[in-house]
Parts: sequence; structure tokens; C-alpha cells
Amino acid sequence: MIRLLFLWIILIVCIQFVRAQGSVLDQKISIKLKQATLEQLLLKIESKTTIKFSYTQKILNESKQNYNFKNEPLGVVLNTVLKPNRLQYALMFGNVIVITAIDKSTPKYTISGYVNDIETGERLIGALVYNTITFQSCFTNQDGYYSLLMPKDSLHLGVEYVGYEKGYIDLKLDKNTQIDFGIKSNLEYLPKRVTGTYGTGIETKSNTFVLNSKTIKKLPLLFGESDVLKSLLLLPGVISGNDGTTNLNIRGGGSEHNLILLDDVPIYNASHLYGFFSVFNSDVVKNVKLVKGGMEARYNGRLSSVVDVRTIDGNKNKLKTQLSIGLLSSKITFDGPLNKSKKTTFFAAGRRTYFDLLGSAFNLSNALPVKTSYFFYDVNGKISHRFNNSHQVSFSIYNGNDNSYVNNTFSLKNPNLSIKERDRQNVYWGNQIMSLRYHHVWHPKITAWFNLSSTAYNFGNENLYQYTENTDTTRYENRIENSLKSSLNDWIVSYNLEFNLSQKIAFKAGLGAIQHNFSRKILFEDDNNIIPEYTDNSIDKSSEVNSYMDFKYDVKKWMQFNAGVQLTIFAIGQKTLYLPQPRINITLPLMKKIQTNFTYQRTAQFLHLLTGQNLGIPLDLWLPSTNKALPEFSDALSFDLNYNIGSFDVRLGVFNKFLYNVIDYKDQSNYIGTTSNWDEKIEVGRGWAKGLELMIEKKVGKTNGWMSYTWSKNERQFNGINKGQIFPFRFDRRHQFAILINHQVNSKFDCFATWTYASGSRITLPESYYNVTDPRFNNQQIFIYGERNKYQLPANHRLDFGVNFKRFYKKYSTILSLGVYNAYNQFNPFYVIPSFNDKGERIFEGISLFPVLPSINYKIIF
Amino acid sequence: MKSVVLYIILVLLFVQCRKEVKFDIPDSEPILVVDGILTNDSLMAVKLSLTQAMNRNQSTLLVDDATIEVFDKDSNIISVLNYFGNGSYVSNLIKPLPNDFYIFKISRLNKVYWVNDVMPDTLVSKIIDTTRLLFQGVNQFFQFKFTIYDKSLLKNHYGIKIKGIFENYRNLDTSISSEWLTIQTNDFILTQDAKSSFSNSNILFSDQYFNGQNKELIFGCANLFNSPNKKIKQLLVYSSSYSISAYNYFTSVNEHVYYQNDPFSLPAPIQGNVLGAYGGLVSQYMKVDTVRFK
Repeated sequence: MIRLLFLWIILIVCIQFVRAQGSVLDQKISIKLKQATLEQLLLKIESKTTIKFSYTQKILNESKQNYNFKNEPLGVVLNTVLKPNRLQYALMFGNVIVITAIDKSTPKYTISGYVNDIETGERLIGALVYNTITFQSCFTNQDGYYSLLMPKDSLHLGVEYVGYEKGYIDLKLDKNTQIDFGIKSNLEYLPKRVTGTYGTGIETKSNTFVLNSKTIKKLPLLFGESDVLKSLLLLPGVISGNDGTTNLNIRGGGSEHNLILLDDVPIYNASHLYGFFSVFNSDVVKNVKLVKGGMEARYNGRLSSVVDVRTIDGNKNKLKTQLSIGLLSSKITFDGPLNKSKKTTFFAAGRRTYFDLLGSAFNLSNALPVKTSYFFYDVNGKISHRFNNSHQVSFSIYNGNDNSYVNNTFSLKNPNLSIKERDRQNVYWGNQIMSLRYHHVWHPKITAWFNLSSTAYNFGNENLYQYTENTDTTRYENRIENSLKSSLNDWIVSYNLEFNLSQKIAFKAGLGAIQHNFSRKILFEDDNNIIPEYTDNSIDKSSEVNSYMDFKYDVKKWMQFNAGVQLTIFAIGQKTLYLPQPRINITLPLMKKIQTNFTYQRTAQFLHLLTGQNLGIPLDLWLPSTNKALPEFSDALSFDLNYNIGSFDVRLGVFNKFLYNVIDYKDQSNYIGTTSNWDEKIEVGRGWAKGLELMIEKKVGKTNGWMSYTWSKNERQFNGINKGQIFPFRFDRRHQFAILINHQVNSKFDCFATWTYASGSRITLPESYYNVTDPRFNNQQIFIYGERNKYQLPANHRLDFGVNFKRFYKKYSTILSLGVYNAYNQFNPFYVIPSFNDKGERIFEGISLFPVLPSINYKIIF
Repeated sequence: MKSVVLYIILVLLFVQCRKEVKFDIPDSEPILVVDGILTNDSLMAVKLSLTQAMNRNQSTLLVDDATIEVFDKDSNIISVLNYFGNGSYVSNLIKPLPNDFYIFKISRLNKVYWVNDVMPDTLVSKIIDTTRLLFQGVNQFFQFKFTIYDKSLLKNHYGIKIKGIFENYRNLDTSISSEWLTIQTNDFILTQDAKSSFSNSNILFSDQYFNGQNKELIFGCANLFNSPNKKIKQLLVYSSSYSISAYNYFTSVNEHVYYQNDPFSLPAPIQGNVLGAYGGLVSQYMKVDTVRFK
């Protein structure tokens, strides 16, 4: 006991030298021993290194076993062999390692806090916090909060995050302690290993992909904008929609099956410009997480995947302005502290295209035959206030709209007659989000957040005709107005708890409710009273109550068991549905460097999407489940292998998904802008998808990136479509391949290139035709279509590349971005129409929207 | 110059590249197409043809080897149609009468196709007023007020078409031409029927808002008077009452044509009434009102 105490004192005295241990414990060794005792192993290590061990023999287990380490860091070797024997170690004097038994009676305390960007104070999501000696670790949650339960000890804690320098803190843990880390951004710096290596903390899985604010800035550009949703299309299992769009079809689901969250609030239409831009302004995005499978139980309401986007809180230390001018759009972002205490921060960002403004400036309406215009804009804003380390509240808004209009005016003025005439047609659509979020640390082990939010999606079509005629004696006025406005407005409230019961066991639970309000307004008005006035204001409501529990048990390194259930209660008329959705996620080590992951998830979706066209979403109509169109649900299984070879992470996965109650239009039906009897126009059926995914990723070094390949098969079956026969899903692309390479030449210059290949999407084509000879149809040809989605468009492929030139000045910095989309001008048909060639022969003609497109963007930051 | 520069930029950005895309579409077996409209005061006429494969470029395949027999509601044969060439089969003397039920038996190559329909009742309608309206300072819009006398208790379906008869001047030559005109209307009855949105030269609507009463409809045509080389001489307003088969057939053809020109829409099949064949053999009671211009 005295010896133990002596060793303990030495351990404490010498802990300040531990800083140097990183380099000693990082040295790599290879050892192969058969049927050896632990002491024999330690002697072998001594013979191969300059390390000396100090221990009492009686604490060493004398049982024999095989040891095989190849090029492993010494710290990992010691951790692997000592921890199962309930032994711990400490490094002293630079090369002496003292081994002691772990005292079972040692009390445990919680160390918790936040990981922040040291310059901006921004809290970092998914940063790894670990004990450098025992490698016990965890990741920061969505609020940048971490919590570790450790025995009373002197600690050397480390933190790592992509794009940041490593951070360390020494402390003596003898009570529950709160420690905040501040780490420094360094774009050139990529830690050798960031996730999944240390301890039992497992963050990166084949099913989940995370981009942080640093990596987002390195993403490929289209029209001078880096787009987070488009970048997700480069991942395995994410099948692209039409060329150039942000349409994500993930593991067999359609684009309507993705739960896209902006600061925990669902966003119904995540694209601008008919799907070519996402609504996310990359300047204010802090973190993006894509979950393709093995969803946590807290995610609810969509079948296939989660795209969880988090925005920044705002710079805590100084006001920062970013002004970006591109070919098609410009944006400006401000963020900074609102008061001297730096407890309140904000950001405000706006983005707008300027087709219409340029059109006016260049008097384009005279140059173009049709007086039409289009623009979109979006604004984001957030105010965050940190009362203290335990309480934080934030209020955020998003408002984005697309607007397309035709505006014709005519006026005539002479002594006897004056006429004014105006004809305006306007189509618009957009999202509005408001969110109030309160994050609270009840106890170092328990955090909670409360969310009250509103999300709305609306589209409308307005036509206005005004005519005024004045003569010397008479005045004639006429005004005809008709409009269709449709909207979905959700009110959402939820309360969520995270409870780290012990270092191995974590528990999450939550309760929430959503009120969906669907409204439709149709208006016909005519001042002249020729046409009867007609209005229709119909509002439907539906509501759901959801609750979840999620249980996580870290069995040992790379072995984790996660099970949860989401229970949703949804009311349809007089009927109430109870939909339990179990989720299971098991991670096991298969061999030394191979981590396997098995997931099962049941998900349900209560809203159906009807859309008028596959090109874009302006006519998207979200509708509640009915007695005929019951809630959609799916069962998904996946199995993945993660393998680390030096700088490369290899991920291989298979998935199988079953979809139930999915909807599609009947053959004779289509969207016609009305919600009435919509469920009579659709068929309810089933779907199947299966696939294989491969991803090889290099995160290390100046040249990094990934390569992904997906083989998948995606089918649907409806009684009333295709004579009940199974047919391929529209975006059933059998093969998809993508490669992304980033190269950081130096701090002032970096470049990227992507090449993508995807089998063609599916299409329904006419196989024969006949003529209707009745004169009322003008001898119209009627096409007779073949089976649904029987034919396949040619494969899509293209090369995009870009370069960023950075300049740093005393008070500001600039970034000039140049990019080329579809560099070798590949013809990728967007759609196909029957047509005739020059000889008058009937052909099918493909139309491609994007030839080679250069882009330029200039950004100034001050 | 500025406009040209911007125009070039926009064209570069959003130019549509077009190219032929080849698909391996199999040759499909030709299927009979029946094309006939029974109209009051007209002989019964049916045109038969065959469907053609999409990848074949040939003229319409007409059918001249069929036999068409007409039966009444008691299954008594009342006519055998004669072949008149060009795929057309016409009755000798028989004209369809309002409210009568007809059965057609079409026999060809050992196959028999049956089709039947009921002639709709007589239609009472009239033009009650016409007006020329100013549009952008020019008398271009010609508006009708038109009344249909709906028969209560029955579900009736109607249609309106307008044909323009024009005098064309070219140098010293004068010629007469006719064309179906685009109908413009904001009339609630004519626009509220979902099916009416698929064609504005052949507006179809039901009596769902008539409540068994007479209804005044307002519609018109634009650009009739602004061409120096073309002068409107007559407007023929065709108003029809349709059998339910005719209404379904015509609206589905309108809808099909509307969507088959939209590459992002799903095909809408024709709701014909001939089992085993395409097309339709349907009936209408048609009335023509004429407006003459000096």
C-alpha cells in the first residue's frame, strides 16, 4: 500500500512532464509474441525502445496469450494490453512508464464543457475530446458540449477537430469539473486521425457523413457557390436526380423522403431556382450531417435520411463581414458580438440573384422577346445569448423565396383619350422558418434543449389584369384578379434530454408535438361583375405527437450497442394511429482495424408530397395522410465495414430497404394545382431498394478527398400502375461513381476537381402512336406509352474543377474563386421529347441544360 | 451593346443543347384505332386505322377490310356501313337521333370489337350578345354572351368551339380559309371544371354549376381584326351536348395531348369506349351559331 502511495505521489509530481509523452507514446512499434506473459511483452517493448517500465510483479497477470502489433503507436499498444487487466500507466521523466493497478474504490467525477473556436468563440460540433493516457473519449454534441466520466486523477486532456490545431489541457480531477477548450483554426492542418480511433467514442460510421465549416469551404463550386447539398451527391448511397439539381435520392428513397433540418427545424423545399441551388448559404453553415441509415430515435417524419444543418452562432470577439460577388448572385454576411460582455452574438446573412436587376440595368426587356424575370433571395439571422455555461438561448430565422413573373404594361395618352393597362402574372414559392432554442445543462451529465419553432412552405400563382380608360366624358375601369395560394405551416415544440449515465451508458429521450396547417386560397375577382366572384378558403389541420428514447452502451473499444424507439401518434379524421419505430445500431470490431456496423431502422412519414413536375419544386404540394393514403413507412437494414489503412479510410456497406404506402400518380392523373380529391389521383403501393456502397477517403495531407461507388436497385409496385407489375423507380441509377480531390498548395492557393458518373435515370416513352382524325383535334398524334420507367437515359458524367486564390492583408482578406462546370462539355440530357430530324424521321431528342459553364466569385472578408 | 453582352452571357449559361438520343424501342403489333363521332343530322361515319410503331416512319395505316354493323337497343340490325375509302365507313341513310341507343359491331381479321353509346338529348343554346373590347388600345377582342338551357335532373356535358372563316388577301388574290380559334375566358363555369384546363380551343364542361337553370357564359377570341392581310368574315360557334362517353373521351384526349407535350409529366391514357382497340366511337348533339362580319 505504501509503495502504491509512493508511486501515486510520483505520478502526481511528474505529471507536468506529460506534455512530452505525446511524442514518446506516438512512436510506432511492431511486436509478435506467441503464448507470452504480459511481463514478457513489456520486456520486449523495452528491448525495442528506450522506454523503461516500473511496476510490481504481483499486479501483472501471468496468463499467456498471443500478441501481434504491427506499426501501432506505443500508446495504443499499452492501452490495448493494460486496460483489460485493470492496469493504468503514466509516463515520467520522458521515458519511464509507471504501471499501477486501477483502484476500484477510486471515485469518479465528470469533466464536461464546450469546445470552441478560439478566435470566434463558435462552439464546435463533433470535436473529439480524449484522455491522452487512457484514450477514453467522447465527441461534442450539437451544442458543442462534451461530458466524460473519469476516475479521480491528474489528467492530460486532448481535443481534435478537422481544420483545427490539436489542443491540450492539464488538470487534476478531484470533483466534477467544467473545462472549455479553445482551439485554433488552421485550414492547412488536418489531424492524422480524428474519429473512430481513440477509446470507445464512435462518431464516423458508413451511415453518417459530417462536414464542418472548414470542409464546407473546400467544396466544389457551381456558379461560384459551394453548395452543401450538391456535395452530398458525391457520397455513396446518394443517388442524384436530374443533372445539376440538388435532388437527393438516398438509399432507395425519393427526394421527399429526406428530413432536411435547419437548426432542428424541418425545411420543406430545400432548393432555389427549380432545384439548382440549395437554400443553405455556405457562409453561415457550421456543420452538416448526413444520416443515411441507423437514424437516432429522435429523428422523425421522413423515411430515408436526415440532412442535419446547423448554422453558426456568430463571432464572439469581433464583428466580421463577408461580402461575396458572383456571376449570378451576391451575398453578404455579418456576424459578431452584440455587447461588451460578448455573451450575446448574432449573425445576419442575405443572398440574392440578379438576373432581373441586370435585365433592368441593361434594358434587357428590349433585347429579349418576352418580358419575364426571375430572382430568388434568402436571408438568415440568429441571435444567441449565453447566460452562463449552463444556459444558452438562441432565436433564428430563415426566409427564402423564389419569384418568377411576367409584367406587361401599356399606356396611351392623347388629348381625348388616355389608357393604362397592366397585365402581371406572378409565380412564387418559398420557406419561412423561425426557431427559439434553449439549451440547458442540468447537471454535468445531463443536458437538455427546448425547441419552439415554426416552418412554412408556400407557393402561389397570381394573375392581375387592370385596365383604365378615360375620355373627356367617360371613365371605364376593369380589374380581373385570380390567384391560387397554397401553404403548409407547421408549429413544432419539443423537449429533449441527453443523460450520460456513466462513461459507457448514455440515454436520450424527448417529447414533441407538431401541428400541421394546410391552407388553400383560390380567388376570382372581377370589378366589372361580368364574372362571378369566387373564393375558396379551405384549411386542413393534422397533428402528431412524438416521443423517443435512445439507449447507448459502449461495451468496449469499437463495440457499441445503440437501441431506441420513436413512438408517434398521428390522427386521421376520427382514427388515431400509433406508430412505434424501433431503431437498432450495433458496432463491433471484426478484426484489428475493421469496424463493423449493423443497423435496422423503421421510419414513418405522415405527409405525402405531390409534385407537378420532376424538374423543380414550385408546385410541390405537401398533404397529410388520409384513410386511403395511409402514412408511409419503411424498414431498412444495413451492414457496413470500416477499415483504416494508413491515411485512408475504406468503408464498404450494403443496404436493403422496404417502403410501404408510398404514393405515385395514377396513369391518367397529374397534378393540376388543386388539393381536392387528391388521393383519388394517386396509387398507394410498395417499394424495394438494395445496394452496395464503397468509399475510400483520404483526410490526411495537403491532397485529400474521396472516391465513392454505389451499385443500387430501386423498384416500385402499385396495383393501378403498369398493370400491377414491378417497375424501376425514376432515379434507379444502377451505378454511380464520384471522385473528389482537394489540393492545398499553400495557404494562398488551393484547388479541387470532381468527376462524377451515373447510369441514366429511367423514363417512360411512347412506343407507338395513332392519329385522331376528328378536326377538333387537328389531326393530332396520340402517343401510346410503354411500361412505366421502362427506358433508360444515357449515362451522365462530367468533370468540374476550380481554384481559390487567397490574399491576406492587414485589415482584410480576399478569396477569388474560379470554376468550370462540365469542363469537357459532356451532353447530359435533362429530359427527352419526341421530335423529327432533318429528314422528317421521328426521333427522340434529348435536351441538356448545362454545357461547359465557367464561374467566378470574389469574396472579401473584414 | 450592353444588352447583347448580357444576352450572350445568359445564352451561355442556359443554352439548351439538343441531340438525338437513341432508344431500343421494340416493334409493337398494330392495334385497331376506331375514330367516330355520331352527330345529329349527319350520317353515321367511322374511320378505322392502325397504330404505328414509334420508330417507323410511314403514313397512316388505314383499314379497308372491316365490316361495321349497327344495331338498335333491341339488338336489331339497322345498318351496315359502307366503305368510302380513306379508312372511312359511312351509313347509307341512317342518322343518329337524340336519346337513341346504338350498338356497333366491328369485325376484322376474325376479331370482333363491340362499342355502344347513347345519343344525347337536343341542345338549346343561343348567342345573346356580342361585344368588341379594347385590348392594348386596339379593338382586338370579340366577346360573346351565350346562353345554354340546361335540362334539370340529368347530368349533362357540354362543349364549345369556335371556328373562324377568314378572307385572305395576297397581292390581287383573295382566298377563304378557316381555323379553330383559341377561346379566351375567365368565366367561372368554363374554367372551374378541372378538365377544361387542357384545351382552350375545345372547352369541355359539365353542368355541375347550372343547378338545372339557364346559364349565361362569357367568352371570346382575340386578335381577330388586326391583320391587314386577313379579314374575319364569319365566326361559327359550335356548341354541343355530349354523351358521357364522348365527354370522357374528348377530355382524356385533350388531357393526353396536353401532357404528352410536357416532358416532365406522366402519360394520361385515352378513355376510349372500344374494348380491345384504341380511339372512341361517341356521340354528340351539335348546334352551330353564326356571326357574320361585313
